[in-house]
Amino acid sequence: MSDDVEPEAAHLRTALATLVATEPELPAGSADIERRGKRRLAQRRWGAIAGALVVAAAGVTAVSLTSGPDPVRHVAQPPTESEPGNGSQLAEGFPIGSAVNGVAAALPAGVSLGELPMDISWRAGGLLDVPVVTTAGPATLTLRVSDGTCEATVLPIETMTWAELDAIARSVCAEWISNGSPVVIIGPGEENPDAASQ
Amino acid sequence: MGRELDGFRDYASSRRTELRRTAYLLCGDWYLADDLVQDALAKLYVHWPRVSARGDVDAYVRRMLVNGFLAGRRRAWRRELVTAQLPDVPAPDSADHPTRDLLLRALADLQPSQRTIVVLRYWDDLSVEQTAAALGCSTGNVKSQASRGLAHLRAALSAVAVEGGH
Repeated sequence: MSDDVEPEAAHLRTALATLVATEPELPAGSADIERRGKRRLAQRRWGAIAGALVVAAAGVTAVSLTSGPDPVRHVAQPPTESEPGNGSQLAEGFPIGSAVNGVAAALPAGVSLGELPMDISWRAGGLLDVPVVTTAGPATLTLRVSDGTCEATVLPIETMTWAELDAIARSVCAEWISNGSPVVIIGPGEENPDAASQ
Repeated sequence: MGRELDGFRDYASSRRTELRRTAYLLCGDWYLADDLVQDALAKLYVHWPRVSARGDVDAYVRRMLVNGFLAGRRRAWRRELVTAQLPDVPAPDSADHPTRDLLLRALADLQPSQRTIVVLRYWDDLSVEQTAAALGCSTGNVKSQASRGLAHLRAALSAVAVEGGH
């Protein structure tokens, strides 16, 4: 503030002080604020869940749109001779290490693999959770190697773009194919076949 | 949140009065001021661990307060209107009443962003840079708007002085 404005500003401050002189009593404590804050937190969580569902729905739509004659976009197809007639399948002989290598080879700049848990394993439906560390914090990359396709999704969803997930899915599929991409049919009620987690 | 919540409570308790006065000078209504402060502090509650760790809590709350005020003014459906009339009627024999009334009206005449700049600069005593950060505008804009706002209020205060005979 310049010198000539200084006294004027002080005068204004004094005048503004007269405006707040009639201040009514302040609500006691911060319980009202905390209630409002908790409501906001709940809204944010539900908003995030709703957002994830919308993005997932959009992803399914995108995949179905690209799975025509040239399906290799978000979803890469293994060789046709390995396709089973029906049922869900995991890539027998697709070691977790190879799948993780496929992920590592395609991670975008600024994203690295997190610490792999000791009990990492394929889950039913050909799912594999791979922890990653992004610039926005830790995230979980979920691979789905099943039904003749490779897919990659991430939570929180904002930590990677669809293009980055697409690159990871392609890389994992390339690893799968280099491992021979044989398939195994999972019978009803079976979970996590040993062959997939070797 | 646990122990962190204690930090939030301490902060909210210690700063609420000042924030409320700033909010009142922005909107001219004590009840709306309470609502603005409550909303700004509720936003702080949500982000308390991150904001308090960064150490710029005052700047964050101020920005939330200003955003809340300006957003409320922009909403066409807003239920509250800034008014020169005090909802809390002061004592009728108060000697300051004409000054307060006139000053409130003069403040209400300012554009919301200009009023915000005047309040932050001359009531909260923020620097040009801090004010610019709170509004997300340039320092040049703050300087020019503050100067115009001050000139407008100067004229209002001069009118009071003339009416009062000093």
